[in-house]
Amino acid sequence: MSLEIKLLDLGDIELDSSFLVIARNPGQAVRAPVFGMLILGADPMIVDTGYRNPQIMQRLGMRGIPTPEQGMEKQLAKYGLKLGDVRYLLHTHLHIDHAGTDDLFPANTTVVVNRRELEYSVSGLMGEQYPPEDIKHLVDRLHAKNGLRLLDLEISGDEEIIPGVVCQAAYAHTEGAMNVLVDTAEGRACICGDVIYDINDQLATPMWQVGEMEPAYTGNHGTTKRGEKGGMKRVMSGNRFVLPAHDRPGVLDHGQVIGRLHDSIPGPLIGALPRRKWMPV
Amino acid sequence: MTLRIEILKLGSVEADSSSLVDYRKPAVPVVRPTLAYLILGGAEGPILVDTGFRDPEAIQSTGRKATVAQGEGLEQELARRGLRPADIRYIFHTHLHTSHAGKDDIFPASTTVVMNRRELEVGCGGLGGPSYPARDMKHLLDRLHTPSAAWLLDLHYSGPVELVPGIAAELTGGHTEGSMNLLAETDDGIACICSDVVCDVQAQIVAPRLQLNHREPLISGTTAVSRAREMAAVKKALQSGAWLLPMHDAPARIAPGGVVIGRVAGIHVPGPVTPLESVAMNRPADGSGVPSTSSNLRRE
Repeated sequence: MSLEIKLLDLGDIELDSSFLVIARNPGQAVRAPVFGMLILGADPMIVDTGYRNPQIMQRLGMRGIPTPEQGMEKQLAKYGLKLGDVRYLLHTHLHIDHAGTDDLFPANTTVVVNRRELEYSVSGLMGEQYPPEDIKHLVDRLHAKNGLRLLDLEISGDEEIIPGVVCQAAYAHTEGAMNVLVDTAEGRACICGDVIYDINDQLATPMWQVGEMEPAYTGNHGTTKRGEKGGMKRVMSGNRFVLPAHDRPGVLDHGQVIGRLHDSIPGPLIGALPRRKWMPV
Repeated sequence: MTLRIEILKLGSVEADSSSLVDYRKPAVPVVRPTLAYLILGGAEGPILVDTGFRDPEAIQSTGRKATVAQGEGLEQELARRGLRPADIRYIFHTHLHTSHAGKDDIFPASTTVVMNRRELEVGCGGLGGPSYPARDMKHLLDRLHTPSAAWLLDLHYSGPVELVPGIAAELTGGHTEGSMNLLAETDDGIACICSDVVCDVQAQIVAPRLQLNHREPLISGTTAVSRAREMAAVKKALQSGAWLLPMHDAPARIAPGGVVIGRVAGIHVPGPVTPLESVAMNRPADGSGVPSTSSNLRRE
């Protein structure tokens, strides 16, 4: 099955640089996009839904900055879709900028989430990153017929949602996060949520790293440092495309970033990072 | 610290016999009380253990029937003692099932609700189905995001912790993944409030039907953990104090070694005890729980 992925531009956030990449220019504000992913080629599916409203980002000391063309409904309209057309809503995780507009979608859109993530969202362990408004809506879905499809990925292994779309435990960022793997005509794409925030500073030229092929940590995770390393390498391994939620997609060749894409997978390259070949001395 | 515990009767639930005691004859309805415990004499103020079901309809959604008789119910039991909800300093939750956390929302945010973090996770994670009602859980989520309205414990990793002088919380190990026992020091020994690992003292511990081995209790019919862990949890509760206080049965007096020797006769712990006729653990006086085949195994 050949599927396509379109980036949904849901809103921007202004936040501290070191939140995205550990120890990167602390005190310096940066602006990052918030992307949802629209999967086309079968009944439409969406991965992540952005923040509830710009003001809610203040709970984390951040600033939500929407532009007029952003937002879930406008972004869906670009592809001739409305909320009720979406069959499945998948969540890489349930942080404040990933599950904020689930309640716009009708009850016949099934929300797919890893059970451990729903559990983790009420644990209090990541504080206001899980707003009660968003999670209470999911608790209502939990008690509504077919409102939720809960996955147990750490125990079951990967689970296929429709042909060509597979959910995989991420083992990084949060305890219940998952990657969504999508088969496209040009190879497998990994929608990785916040396991990777910044492709350039974490993967392409990773900050503070000495070892070969060592990715740099994000500044925000609930698991161990070792878990984060393994989780990032899981994303970099075996996938042609890597799609973070807060950066433009990357093209991978055997785990190395060789290019960038804009808002379509497959789609035209917007940048290339050619590698110098190793040569004997 | 000498603490006193009073038994509050919140109502009754009619459940299937087999849900209370493993392997017991199904399709026989059994009426069990729903209790809460009020711990008095502590330095910080009165403490309530569990708050019962929200209303009989909440119990119906789990396929059972509930009643609240005249004079029963949390508000009535508190009022009888001259207490308003705002007078309660802490609510300690053994766990968060329908008949345990239904009335947290009558207490103000200044009453801190204490629970094991894993239990809140399980309560919102869907594994317990309708046993964790949406309204109860959503109220707890509001508390989670309100300053000091919730106190989360990490008993899996911390081990037992003292919550206030004289009262400790400890992982139950059974019933649900996040259940906790509460251990209160009285002037007549420790009282162990044991979540729902024991629902029926007589049928699970005093005279466990079909159990052959010495000191082998029956586990309840509702457990989310493995049989091995549930069995260990019952035994742990029996070893944890001089009093065993279940949430759906009258408390029991426990002799050293974990043997039930009597049942609490009134509403006070410590308090008057009716001794059991037979105190031989796992061996009812008439031998009725023991299948005849066991004689083949006896060494003559």
